[in-house]
Amino acid sequence: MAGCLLSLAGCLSDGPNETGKDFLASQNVILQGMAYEVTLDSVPLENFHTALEEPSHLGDTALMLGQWNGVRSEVRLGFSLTNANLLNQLDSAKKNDSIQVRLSLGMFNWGGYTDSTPNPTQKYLESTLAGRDSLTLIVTTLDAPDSVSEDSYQAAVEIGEPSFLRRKLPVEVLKAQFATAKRTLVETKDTVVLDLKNVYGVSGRDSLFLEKLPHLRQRLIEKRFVRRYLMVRIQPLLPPSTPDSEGVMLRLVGANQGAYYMPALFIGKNENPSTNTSDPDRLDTYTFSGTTVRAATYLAEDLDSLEHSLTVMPQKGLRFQMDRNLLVSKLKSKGLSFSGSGASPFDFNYFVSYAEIQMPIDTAKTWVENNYSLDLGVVSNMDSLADGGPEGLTLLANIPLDSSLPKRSEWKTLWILDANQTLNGNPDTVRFSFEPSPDAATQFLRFALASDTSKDMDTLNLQAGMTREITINAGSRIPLYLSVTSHGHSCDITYRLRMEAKEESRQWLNPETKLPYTDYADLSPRLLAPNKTHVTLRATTSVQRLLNRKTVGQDVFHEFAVKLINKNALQTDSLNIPVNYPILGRVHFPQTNGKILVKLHLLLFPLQQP
Amino acid sequence: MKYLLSLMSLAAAVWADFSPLDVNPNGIGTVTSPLGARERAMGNSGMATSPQPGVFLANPSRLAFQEKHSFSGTLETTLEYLHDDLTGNRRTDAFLPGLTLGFPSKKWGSLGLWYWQTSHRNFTFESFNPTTGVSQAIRAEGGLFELGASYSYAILPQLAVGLDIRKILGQERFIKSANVSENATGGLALNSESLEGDTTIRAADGLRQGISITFRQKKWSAALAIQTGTTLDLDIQRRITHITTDVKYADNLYLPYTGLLGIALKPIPGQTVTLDMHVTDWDSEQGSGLDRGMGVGAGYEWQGNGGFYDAYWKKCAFRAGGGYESLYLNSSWQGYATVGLGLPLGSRGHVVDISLMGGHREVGGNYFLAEEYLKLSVTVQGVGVWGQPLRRRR
Repeated sequence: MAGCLLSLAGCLSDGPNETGKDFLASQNVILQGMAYEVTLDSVPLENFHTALEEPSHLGDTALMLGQWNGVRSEVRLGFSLTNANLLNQLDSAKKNDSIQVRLSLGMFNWGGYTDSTPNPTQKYLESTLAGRDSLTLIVTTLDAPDSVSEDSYQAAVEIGEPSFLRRKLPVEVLKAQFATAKRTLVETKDTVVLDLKNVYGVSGRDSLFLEKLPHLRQRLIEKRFVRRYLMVRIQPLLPPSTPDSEGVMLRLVGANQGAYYMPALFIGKNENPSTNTSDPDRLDTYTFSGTTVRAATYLAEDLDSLEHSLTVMPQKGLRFQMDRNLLVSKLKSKGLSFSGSGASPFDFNYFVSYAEIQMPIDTAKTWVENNYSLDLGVVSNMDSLADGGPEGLTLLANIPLDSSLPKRSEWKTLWILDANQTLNGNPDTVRFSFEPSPDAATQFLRFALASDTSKDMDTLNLQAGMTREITINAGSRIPLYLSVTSHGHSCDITYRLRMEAKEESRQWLNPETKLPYTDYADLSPRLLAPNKTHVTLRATTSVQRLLNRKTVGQDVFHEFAVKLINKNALQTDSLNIPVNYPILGRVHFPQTNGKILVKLHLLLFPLQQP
Repeated sequence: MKYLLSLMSLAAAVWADFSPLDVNPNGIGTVTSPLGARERAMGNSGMATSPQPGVFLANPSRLAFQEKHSFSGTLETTLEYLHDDLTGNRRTDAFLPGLTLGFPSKKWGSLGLWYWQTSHRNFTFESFNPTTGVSQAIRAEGGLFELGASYSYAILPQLAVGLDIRKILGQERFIKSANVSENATGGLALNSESLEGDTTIRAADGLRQGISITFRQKKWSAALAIQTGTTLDLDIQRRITHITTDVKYADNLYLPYTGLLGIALKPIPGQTVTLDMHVTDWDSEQGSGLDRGMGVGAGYEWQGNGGFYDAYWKKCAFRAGGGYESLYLNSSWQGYATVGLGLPLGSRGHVVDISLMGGHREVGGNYFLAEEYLKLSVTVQGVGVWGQPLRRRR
């Protein structure tokens, strides 16, 4: 009967209309009118700075190496040598100096152009060689010291990832960690010279360099392991004062799986010059698969970074915060009414349905390589911990390493603060336990996520004064980054919350068709092109989170970043062709009395009052 | 508890009933009649009568005079024509307000159990602004639900006293949304994100007690019932598109006392005249726009006493009535007239009661809003004799 009545009810209903609208308005329970459209001029940005963008880049497909236009870039690679026969052959080669260890670097391949009809991009890249014939590189290789066992070295590489390969850390931190690494790892240095004459000029295909690494070869012969992990740092041997006219900036192939020209370490012997007179220096490799690129990244450093603090390069972005209270006061001045105090998560009365930021550009101080256009976007981090620096979203805890502690002592509940980033939306707990080794010289720190019952705790062995970085992964969860420093009987653990930046939608809809624009020319508001005085970026989610945030039980640290999206630059003469290799540039945002002033354009819906 | 509330909400899948009460965040929405279809057919009156088995929420003491175990379920559906000065709109609702179980025992007293939805909110209002291309909607959902138990005992053959306790649970949602993706004509709104729901969720929890007395004579009877006022604990959460909060804050909602008085006269065997009154002591301190709610209803019942070989209509009951209520929302009132039937199902005492109520509600003042409605209610009453001595079974 109920079903029949419901069916009858459905038939009779003719749907709602606006009956009673006046009454509802009198009850103050309807959306008060429609959205408010507000423009706020001269909104100052707080705590702005440029910083390396997150996350880490262990798998860059394109790398930069050299020094040019005030920027210096070095390449960092991680290799594993897992072929025992290969290493044995190298060992036996003590009696055969023709067996070499060589480094291969592949130039970036941009497509099938010929010398007779060169690609403009190719011609441009050739110009960045500044007419040089060669470039000298310092190849620094780190491997395990004699005192470190194979297992622990493997753990250092595989569990923690070589910290110096992480680009997410500031340059200063990277340098310090590199210095730390040198204390525990054996360093080998070789100098190689790259022949630049034809790197971009061989009929549309890139050139391959093979350079000898005699010191690394000697190191591998002296200390041969079944498995060997190497971290390789390649720096241009150019003084910082080198003028641009004498600089060089190469684009290399990175860890592009399956690419023939990816960086590699080869072990082989020279072919007999008498039988291969055309290429007497060719290497006859024993094996190719024995060298695997486990990680590849590059680190570009602005040599004038202090002077030009607001610089955007391919791996940098402008980070800033906005003062929420200031924003609210400006909205109030526009006639919008707000109630409540700033302590409540929903004391503000409007939902941000749309927001765009108009960023001013100092045209005179802004340049981009080859007059390319930059495709900019806004990302926002939210709900990180309150007291962090630009990269120092850290929480420091001192854990006493005492054998009297429970086997699995709970350290601290780590809130992964965005429900979209957690497993089942639940916060998690990292548990640690300590176990001294029999000789008391080494402590074993064991750790695991409380929720991850599928595996045993991971083990990290520590010695006093040693710092290790560990990454804890669990399913699709955002990894946790921890830095552990042992003091013998205690250790400091620094927790880095890797925030998953929320990228703004950069879609713009055509008012007539209601369909998204696809042609870059129609997306010009967000493109930074030569001589442009400002860029307009969508920031809906960012501002929405700022005003309509959730409560997290602690203070909120909200950070915006304006950066290149997908590192695409665009050819100015044909805006729909992205350049698929990293480029250099410097974007200067003008300041007024030490502040960057932006224009905010908002669409606000009034929220109901509970 | 959440599952229980969810089930309750499903059971109360209603459309809009009376919008002013439903959307006003103060108060408790539209109050559901605690009466079955028999009493509804008599102008929402008859709390002092006791000819039929079954738990009677308005007056649990009445169960003490019963002898048979009982089960009852009530279903109601309403067709409404809502209108104001300029527009009109038809709506329907249908829901199951409650179930009762009665376990009478003359020696030990009688036990009553029930689930009842005591109030509900379910209202949708949509508007579209062709200038901006933004459509907006407001919805109110949910209600208060009651799990109750009563004990009643006839201390004299003419006098019964009932005590009851009612666990009150509530789940209400007030939702606002704005869709800017479909009809936006250009400008910023075109590229905006929709406000999928600005939702305030209010969960209520509380306990109230009641006492009731029925005095019965051959020619007349009277009943008095009082449900105490109580303070409900409110847990209020807020959600906005893709953003949820922790519990926003706790609050209280005072549910005022309700007093009910009923008189029934039986001047002629088989015929009953009833008069009921009730008052719920809302006032403006409990929320703006609230005022004391009062109501009076009167009815008449002709109960056939036909035997086994008589025509079926001579075994039926025929009822009529009417009433007036001043609703707890300021300046709102309703008047209604009712008719109904009592249809016996076999000789064991099972019965189906049907009532049809036609009424008019309105809010006065500057914002005139009125509705005409037809409410059909059906109560199925089943009785059992299990546990009774064999000689009492028929």
